[in-house]
Order: sequence, then C-alpha cells, then structure tokens
Amino acid sequence: MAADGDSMDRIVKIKSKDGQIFDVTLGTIKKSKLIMTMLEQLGDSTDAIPLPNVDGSTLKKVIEWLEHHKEEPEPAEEESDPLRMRISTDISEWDKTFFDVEQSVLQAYILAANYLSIKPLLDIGCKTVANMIKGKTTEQLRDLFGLEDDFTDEERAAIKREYAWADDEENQAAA
Amino acid sequence: MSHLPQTTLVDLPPEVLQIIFSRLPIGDLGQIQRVNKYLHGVANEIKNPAGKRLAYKNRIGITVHFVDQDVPEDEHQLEFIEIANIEILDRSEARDRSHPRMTIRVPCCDRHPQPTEEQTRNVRQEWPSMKIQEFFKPFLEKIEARINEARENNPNYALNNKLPISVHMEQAFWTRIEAFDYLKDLLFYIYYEYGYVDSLELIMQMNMTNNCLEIVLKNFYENCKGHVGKLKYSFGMVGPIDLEKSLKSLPPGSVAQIREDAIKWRKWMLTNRHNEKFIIAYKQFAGYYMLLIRSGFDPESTS
Repeated sequence: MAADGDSMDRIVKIKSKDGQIFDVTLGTIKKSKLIMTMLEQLGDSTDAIPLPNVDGSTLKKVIEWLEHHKEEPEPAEEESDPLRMRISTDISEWDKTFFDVEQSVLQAYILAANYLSIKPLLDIGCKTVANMIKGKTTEQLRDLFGLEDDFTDEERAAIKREYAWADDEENQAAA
Repeated sequence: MSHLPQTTLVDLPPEVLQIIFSRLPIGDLGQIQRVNKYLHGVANEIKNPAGKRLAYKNRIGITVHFVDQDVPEDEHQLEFIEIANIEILDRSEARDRSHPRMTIRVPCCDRHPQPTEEQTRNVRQEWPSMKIQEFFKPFLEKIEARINEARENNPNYALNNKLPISVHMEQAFWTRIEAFDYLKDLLFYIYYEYGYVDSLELIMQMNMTNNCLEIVLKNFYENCKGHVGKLKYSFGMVGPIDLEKSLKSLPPGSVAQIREDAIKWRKWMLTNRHNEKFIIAYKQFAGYYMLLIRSGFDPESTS
C-alpha cells in the first residue's frame, strides 16, 4: 500500500465488538499489521472493518495511543540493538501514565495490541507487566495477581530444591 | 447484583506471557515461575527464551578480556588487532574447558580511516558479516539436542556430562564503536539465550588512551545488571597511568576514598551510585603499574 502523505490522511472506519464505529486516519492506524492486511484485502471498500475481539472502550484507548505515537518511525526489522530492546524495561512517562490502570484494563490493552498486531503497544504493555513483577517474591506475586498456590506438597518441594538458587541473596540483589 | 469474574494478567495467553517473562531478570523469573502450575509450565517451556534460561540456570559464566594495544608510531601496513576476547564458561565443565570463544578485531590505529574497496572486500572475505544469532547457533543447537535427549531418558534430567564441542569464531570491525556495540549485543544475546549467567568477569589489559574504564563501566556494567549473578573486574594496565583522572571517568554519584597502606598498594574504596562497593588497588611492579579492581568486598575488612 502506498505510504505517501495523501494516503496517510485517508479515513478508515473500524468497528468494535460492541458495534462502536471509529474514524481514524491511515496514518494513525498504520502500526496495526492486522488492519493494514485487512485493508489490502478489502481494496477500495469503505465498509467499517470489524474487530470482534476488541470492545469499544479499549479500542478508543488504543486509538489514543496510536495517535500519540503516530509520528514515531516503525522499528526496522534488523535493529542495531534488537536483544537489548527485547530485554529493556524502560518506558516513557506518557506510556507509564497510559498504562497506569487496573489489571483487567491493562490486560485488555495487551490483548488488543496482540490481536491487532501492534507490536510497539504490545511491547510496552509487556514491559509494564514485567516491571510489576520485578523485585517481588513468589508470595507477593500471588497477592498481586490474586492467584492460589496449586502445587502439591511434593511438587512444591521439588521446585524448591530445583530452583533453590532463586532464593539466593545474590539473585535477589541481581533482580 | 451480578459480579463479572475479575481477570488478571495471568489470564493472558502463553505467547504474551512468554514476551513478559523474556524481559525479566533471572531472579524474578525464578520467583514468577513458582507462583502456580500454569505459570510454571509457561515459564519452563524449553523452546522459549525463559525456559532456556531456567533450564541452564547457574551454568554459564562469561569472561571478556579487553586488550588495548599500543599504537605503532612508524609507517606500517593495516593490521586487524584483537581488542576483545569473549569466552563462555560452562560451569559443569572442568576449569580448563571453555566454549565457545569469540575474538573481536579492529584496525591497529586511526591511520587507516577510510577502507578501500579492496580492503573492505578482503575483510569481509576473511570475517564474513554474521548476525549475532549465527555465532553461537551450532553450540546452542547441540545443547538443545542434548537436553532433548536427556529429557527423553529422564524427565528430571540434569546436565552433568561434558558437552563435546568447542567453537572459536572471529569478527572484525572498522571502528571501536562498532566493535563495542557488537560486543554489547553479543552479551545480551548470551544473557537472553543461554540461561543463568552466574558471573561476568571483565579483564582489561590496556593503557588509558581510550578511556576504557568509562567505556567498560558504562557499557558493560550498567547493561548487564540484573542478568548476571556476580560481576567481577580485574584491570591490568600499562603505565603511565593517571588514576586520579581515571576515577573521574566513573559514573556520576560515585564516591572514592583513598587509603595508602604500609605495603606497596594504594587503595581506593569506591562506592558507586548504586551503593555498591569496590576496592581498587595499584602498585608498580616490574616496570608496570598493576591496577586491580574488585567488586563485592567489605571495605572495613581490607587492610
């Protein structure tokens, strides 16, 4: 698809699973590989693109995120520093504020990014969760995510033996 | 009143959890995988980065030997000299066994700034450009094959046998910046793919013309935090050395306290901005200034 200035102003309609329709420019939505693929398949059709896995309120926020980041260039396939990018958990202040939401909402953003194939949004969402996990003990993580310990006594003992290093002070410090 | 079940982040699909886990330092990965059976299963999937890291826990050490050679003053031919050697130490092996190894080379000096077409062709012929992942692929594939074999025989496998391979590769770059960037990527690749890196040892033999203290501390110390258990430094420097100047190149927030003992060592007790303590000692020995930097010490116990 052409990516010149005019085509980037083209209005695309997208429809959430609860029937809300949003008008967005191609320049805004281009980071979604799913939508770009669907646009190529639909050709000149002006019908709203159905997005049955994303509700209206989430889609609205995703568009807000895309709008804020639309001027940022797509990361090249071969980044000079791809591994560090994958490991890095640095997040901009704007994104920190954007993702400062309840867990269920954060989950909805991440699932939407995954479904719409918006890699930068997915990356930041995953970084946010990684930062929530960092520095916490197993018990604190259970509390944070509201999870039960469902291991049997034998399994628990085996894991404790196998991963005894995770309790080492040095590893805690490293974390 | 109806109450919708509250979903949490662990309801995310495994492929997304894998992305999250791949960003965690090994200590945190060790904690999250013990939360419940589902997270344990996702984190320990051996085909994914987190699973590889957990499977190889405590098994890898890294040594990087930096070499800063004197620049020849007379007319000379372009030569690609070693500036860094990186070794991966398999902790299940005997001390004298290590693999794989990689040497990084750069031009001998800046009198050869613009490579000719022929020079570029020759370099590429001798050291074909490789993606980082390709460097250790043969080694990783063999490790993976061994794990699969061991798992077939015993679900609670343990990698206690020697790995029967040794790999030594080289790569050359036209500038030191390119070379150090590549080395950084390489280290991250190792953190990411190999598993638990229990130590990173940086050994430097260099003069101070390139201000390598700053380069190494900024690039290799800062970036590896959280991905290795221990950091060790040792510096062997060729004089003349201006230590006062060298210490000024340390990251902001560092505090150095100088002590001079009765023997020949001068010592600096250094606390960096992360409140980590180091001892730096140096003395003149056989015409060389020997400088040692050790991390993780108790300053009160040194004399």
